[in-house]
Amino acid sequence: MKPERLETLLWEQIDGVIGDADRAELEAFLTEHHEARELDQELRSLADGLANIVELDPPMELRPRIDRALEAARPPADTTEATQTSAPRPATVGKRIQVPVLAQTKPRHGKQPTFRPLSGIWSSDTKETTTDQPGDSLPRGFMMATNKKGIIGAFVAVAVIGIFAIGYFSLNKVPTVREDAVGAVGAADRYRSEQITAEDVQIEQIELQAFMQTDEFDQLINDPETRKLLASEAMQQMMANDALRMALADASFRNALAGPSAKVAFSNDAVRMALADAAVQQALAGPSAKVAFSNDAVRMALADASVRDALAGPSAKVAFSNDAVRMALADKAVQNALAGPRAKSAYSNDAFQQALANDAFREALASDAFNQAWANAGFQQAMSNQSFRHAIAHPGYTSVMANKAFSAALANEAFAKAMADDAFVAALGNEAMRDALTDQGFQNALANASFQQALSDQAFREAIASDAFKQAFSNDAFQQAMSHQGFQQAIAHPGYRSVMANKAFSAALADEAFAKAMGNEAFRAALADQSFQNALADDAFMNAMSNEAFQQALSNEAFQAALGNDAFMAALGNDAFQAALGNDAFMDAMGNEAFQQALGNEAFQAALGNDAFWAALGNDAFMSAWSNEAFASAMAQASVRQALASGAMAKALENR
Amino acid sequence: MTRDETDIMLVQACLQGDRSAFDELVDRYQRALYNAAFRITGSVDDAMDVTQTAFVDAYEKLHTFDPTRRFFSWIYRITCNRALKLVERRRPVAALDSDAQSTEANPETAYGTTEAGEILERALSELGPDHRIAIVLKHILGYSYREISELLDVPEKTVKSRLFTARRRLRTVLLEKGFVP
Repeated sequence: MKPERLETLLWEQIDGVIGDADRAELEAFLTEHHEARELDQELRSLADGLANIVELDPPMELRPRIDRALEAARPPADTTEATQTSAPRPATVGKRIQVPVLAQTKPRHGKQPTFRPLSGIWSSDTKETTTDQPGDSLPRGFMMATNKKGIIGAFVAVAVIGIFAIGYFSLNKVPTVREDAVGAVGAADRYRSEQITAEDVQIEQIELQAFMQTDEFDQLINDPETRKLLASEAMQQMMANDALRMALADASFRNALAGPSAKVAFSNDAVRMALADAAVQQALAGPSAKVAFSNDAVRMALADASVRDALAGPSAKVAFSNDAVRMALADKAVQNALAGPRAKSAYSNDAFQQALANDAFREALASDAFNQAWANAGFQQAMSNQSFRHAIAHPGYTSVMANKAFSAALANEAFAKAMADDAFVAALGNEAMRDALTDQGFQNALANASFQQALSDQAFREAIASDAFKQAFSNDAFQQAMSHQGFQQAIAHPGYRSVMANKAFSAALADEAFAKAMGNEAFRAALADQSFQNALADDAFMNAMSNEAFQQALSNEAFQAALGNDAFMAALGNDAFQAALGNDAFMDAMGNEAFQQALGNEAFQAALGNDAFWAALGNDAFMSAWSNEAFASAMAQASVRQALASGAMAKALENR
Repeated sequence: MTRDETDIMLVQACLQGDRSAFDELVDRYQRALYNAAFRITGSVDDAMDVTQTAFVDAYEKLHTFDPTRRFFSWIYRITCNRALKLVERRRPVAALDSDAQSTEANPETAYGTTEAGEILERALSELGPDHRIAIVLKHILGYSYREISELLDVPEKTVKSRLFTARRRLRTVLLEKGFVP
């Protein structure tokens, strides 16, 4: 393969756009060429480094500069009439103040009203009482806007601010109007005459009053959608929540709610229903929510239908009532991540919402490591994957989320990237795999850098997604092996990882004897050995791995010790040898060094196919001869080996 | 409703006189545009100038925007063009960060460390604007080939080719600095 093509394919693999044929070609090439693997690692490292370069926060002064520049800019060419909406409209001020809902309700006589009258105010039979209100006195631009489908909805959240204000007044008594505001808020006199003094109102009334004098307030009280919203039971319940009303005292909270994205969100029936829920209200009233709402990304997210639907889900409500979740939501990295397009698609997913209802999941959600994971593009990508979301909703998975080792792994770039990989996600969709996740050994493995490194390898991820591998995960011995450093080092080796994608090897993994062998130190040490790893890449050896007798042999300590021997490794691919592996005496002989040496010899391997040889293996004298130096050196001679191969020597020994 | 769809709603609202709708668009994109401008110009001040000017340009010419296209692509191109013109006027490109200039490359440092991140940023600043922006869009902002193609208004094939050259050049610059992953 030419260097340019290799580099192109490697980048395509890293970018996740490589085709199946190209991938197969690349993987074959990587298996055979050490330099190519090195280049692969280098490019991956470069990609990781670039991905770690963070986006910069714009300087604080940028936004005011843009605002000033826009103020001075020419309005868009065809909006001359429309721009008049932003001009002051003193002529309408007096009229609009006659509209405030409480002014037109029944006199309260010092008694706090409930919100029930609101629905009456905006019901169809009372609309007539407002016909003298500025529907026709609204600026032309506004009328143009409200006549456009969708734009109406955009004003609804401003309406919400008004509703909050109105609700606030209705439940906390109406504020005294400042002297300098009387001219603008004519109708306020009506309130003042029968209502409260300044000290009755504890929180920032001035700002609320100021709001009541804005165009937005004017618009909201004339908007049919607002009326509908005011009449809703959900909104009335909302305003009965003290904490939420207190939250409204916060200017940033109100400003956030007044943004166009929030407007769109509040026009959604599901959101309004959710807002009627006490848990959601408490969450909104908390400091975390205020911080969150002041975040641009969060406000943008609110404009997304899937986010709004998720907010209305029962699990989201449960989650919101959890302190840990609310604390997590105050973290800007979490907010940005949650507002990201990939994360957003997760909200509307039942499985994700189900996960949110799980204590362990929420606890994990609030952990630092998880917060870091949220900010990781790989994790966010994983969240957008349906299988992944389904996996995380599984009790086995949610409980593992609370595990420190797992949480630590989540913050690891390689692990997070792996989570976004289809093969890994598919693996998580398997029950055995998820059960394995709850195993301490597996969790420890997840926290191990070598294992995480291995997870960044496509072949490894594909291997662990295979049924055989997943079956292996459910095996105690295998899980135990996973936590062993030697095994972890072994799987981090490119040669080993590439072999994991081999079907014969995968099949072997599913075998209990093989899994048991994984728990053996000598076997694991062999796994970390270069020659053994090379052997694993050999088809003959891999075929042997799928042989039941061989798998049984793997759990034999003597055999495992022999695995470190080059000659022995060479013999492993021999058919006769593989058949011999099922023989007890043969397996005993495996522990003998001379035997292991002999195993590497062709003539000896030929002898393995001889019945007499097998019979001799059952003979003590024959077996003890292997530990004899003279015998071993004799085995080094071609003629002796030929004799062995002919079966004559074995027969002689047997007869002895 | 997708973000692109709400963008169009906001544009329409703005064209009908609602300036606050454009404010929302500024909220949405000032960060991405500032980052693009900074990566191209290598200067905080220039990036702020470019971002501000791009928003004003977009606002004043909003009536020329084709609502069948993505608003972000449109304003992103305005920003990149502005930034590229600025860079053309004042070649050679300044270093991205004065601190990064003093960073000594450690051959054993991994790319993932803060120090290495600074070295990478500095190496990036030595690429030509086209190559730099291709890398920024792909690796830092995480756009796909197709999205980059839309943003830069070039065929996907060009994006791939540009990225290939840019990555190769970046490796060369890093190696020249003695930085080995």
